[in-house]
Amino acid sequence: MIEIKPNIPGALANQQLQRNLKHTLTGSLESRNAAVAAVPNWQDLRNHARQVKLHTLERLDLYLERLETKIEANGGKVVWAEDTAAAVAAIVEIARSRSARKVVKSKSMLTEEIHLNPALEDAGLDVVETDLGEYIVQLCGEVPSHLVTPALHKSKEEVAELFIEKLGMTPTDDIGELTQAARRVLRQHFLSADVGISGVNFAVAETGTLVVVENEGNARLSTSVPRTHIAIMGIEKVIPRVSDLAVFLKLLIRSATGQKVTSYINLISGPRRAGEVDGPEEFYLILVDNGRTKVHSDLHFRQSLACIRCGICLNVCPVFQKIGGHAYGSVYQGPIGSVLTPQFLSESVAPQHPFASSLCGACKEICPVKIEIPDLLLELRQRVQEKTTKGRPFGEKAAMIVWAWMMTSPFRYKLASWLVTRIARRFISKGKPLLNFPPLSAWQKKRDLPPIPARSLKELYRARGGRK
Amino acid sequence: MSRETILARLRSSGRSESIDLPETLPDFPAYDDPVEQFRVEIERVGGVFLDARRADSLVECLSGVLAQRGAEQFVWEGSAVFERHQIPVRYLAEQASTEHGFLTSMHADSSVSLPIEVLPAGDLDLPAVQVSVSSAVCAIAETGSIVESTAVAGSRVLPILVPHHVVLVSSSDFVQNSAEFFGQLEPGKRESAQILMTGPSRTADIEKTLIIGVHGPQSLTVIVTG
Ligand code: SF4
Repeated sequence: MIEIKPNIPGALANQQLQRNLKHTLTGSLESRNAAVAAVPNWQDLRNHARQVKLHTLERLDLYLERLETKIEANGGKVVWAEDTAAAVAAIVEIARSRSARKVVKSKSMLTEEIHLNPALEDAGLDVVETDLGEYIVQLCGEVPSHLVTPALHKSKEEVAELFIEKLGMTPTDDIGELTQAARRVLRQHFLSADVGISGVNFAVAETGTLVVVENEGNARLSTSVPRTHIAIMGIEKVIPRVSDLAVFLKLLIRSATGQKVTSYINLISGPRRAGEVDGPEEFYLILVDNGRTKVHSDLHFRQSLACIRCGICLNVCPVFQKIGGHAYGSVYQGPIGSVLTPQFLSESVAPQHPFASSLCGACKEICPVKIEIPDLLLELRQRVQEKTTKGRPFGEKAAMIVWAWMMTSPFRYKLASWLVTRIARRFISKGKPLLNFPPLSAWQKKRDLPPIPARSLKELYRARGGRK
Repeated sequence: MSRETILARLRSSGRSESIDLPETLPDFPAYDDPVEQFRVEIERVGGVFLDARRADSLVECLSGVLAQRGAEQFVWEGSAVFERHQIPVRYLAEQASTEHGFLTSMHADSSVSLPIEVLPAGDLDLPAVQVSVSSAVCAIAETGSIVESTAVAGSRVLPILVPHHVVLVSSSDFVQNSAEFFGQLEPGKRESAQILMTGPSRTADIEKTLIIGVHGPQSLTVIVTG
């Protein structure tokens, strides 16, 4: 079982993490908001993208077959993998049969999902992450803490310490120098790698083209220098037409980084062709299911497969903002992580995820493909409840009956609130004995109860001559 | 087999309602002077814009870039670039096949023509190259992006490997916005890869602080030709 609750106190008490989260998330939301404000028809773009995605999901089988046909026509090979084991086995097999020794990787959350790196290492391969954030996380032996910015939880001092220790660089906390140090080391890895593995942002069925969006140039190098390029994607990443890329890229990039466009957008249609000077000799696309068909079979939850992994719902989530990515204990974190994790792994493996939300709706408001995250979380809560407790506990049931009885008559309501405020003023204020006993003691352990005012709003209103 | 299993599951999982693909795209911005819009955008992201629409200014422009980067020579990605942009070149040695080799050009010794030396691709020490020059197939005004195709520019690797990259783009290859660009694109028809480049390589992975020049070049210069 993956738990969130036990991780929360530690995350909240970690001052460094709190500073890093506040600093980076505030900045990224500001730049996203500015980038979106500059697009007058942002809502049209969202509606367009959502429609294309939902259409594609209705005919996913057809578009995947079309994609396969086109990739093969371009000289590539397609491998289908129904689960983690099949995906890992396929990649290890390709690497082995080429006697590969070193693999360079550009960013792919799916490879985290299938735990590819340890599997490749077990097979005797040297695996190097080349996205700067991923590289930092790999050197620490950690996992990413954000969909888009994997090393979000690290400060420059922490990165400096890491590079001094692992790369033997001279002490500095200049971010430019740290970046150059990573560049030098990774450059050597690019030039000596046998296999390059990349993720995929979009796969276009009509042309067999993979789109990889990046800023650093590492994806271009990973997919072009080594002899073999293996791209890996979840089956939900396919889109029908090239022309829709204009819309998807605009939505993805402005949401993810607040840029108008990234430095590089790679469109890859197979291996090197006759007459081209370089590029990989072989190209593979691994199409991974790993729970996605299960999500697909639920007509309401299907929309969660429309996610384009922009990460902005994480940044805007008040829970994520306080606890960060690692507290979720899962590969996918934040609001969409809380929707996907229980579905991919089953509700009983991740029963706390649907509850790690205030249901404030900010994620749904900001999502570029308008996924109804709060609605899905609510439904998941219900499922978890049904699975774990066979109905509500007795105390809760009783409380609800009393509550309903009180709320359904104005007289009873008035009487109850009159009584409760009197009791509260005398016995439940700060320092008063009743707060120190269960069940109230549990509540007040992490919260302060503000003093209960001497007069209620209604009383004040009347005292000042307000009419009934 | 995973393939059949996955497809069977998808086929049996049912349809909610039928949703058609939208027929038209939402509006994308258009500009009176696309080249000017392009200049504003590329300079905003730290790229360099040079105007060589007057044919006689091109060689001068190129040697200026070379001098500024303190480099001795360019690497050209194939001779197609010369033809595309009508660059006057003078070959230093008789080499028959210039088609797929990399070409290096020494400092322009005059403003009339570029002396060219031809090196087979294999003889080139890629990591030592300082400046590469290639030709774009398209420039997108909206975002300040240039597009390279392996069918024309040649190398998939070189524009990222070098510290300084220069791209020539003809003023007739400008489009207004990304909708126009993707609307006419047929990726994979002639080439294995295309790349949209917008400014130099960058990262913000450490504390969201922008750093220029990570794995790719520290500078990107775009020269617009006539
Ligand atoms: S659910 Fe929406 S906002 Fe969240 S990562 Fe996916 S696309 Fe972005």
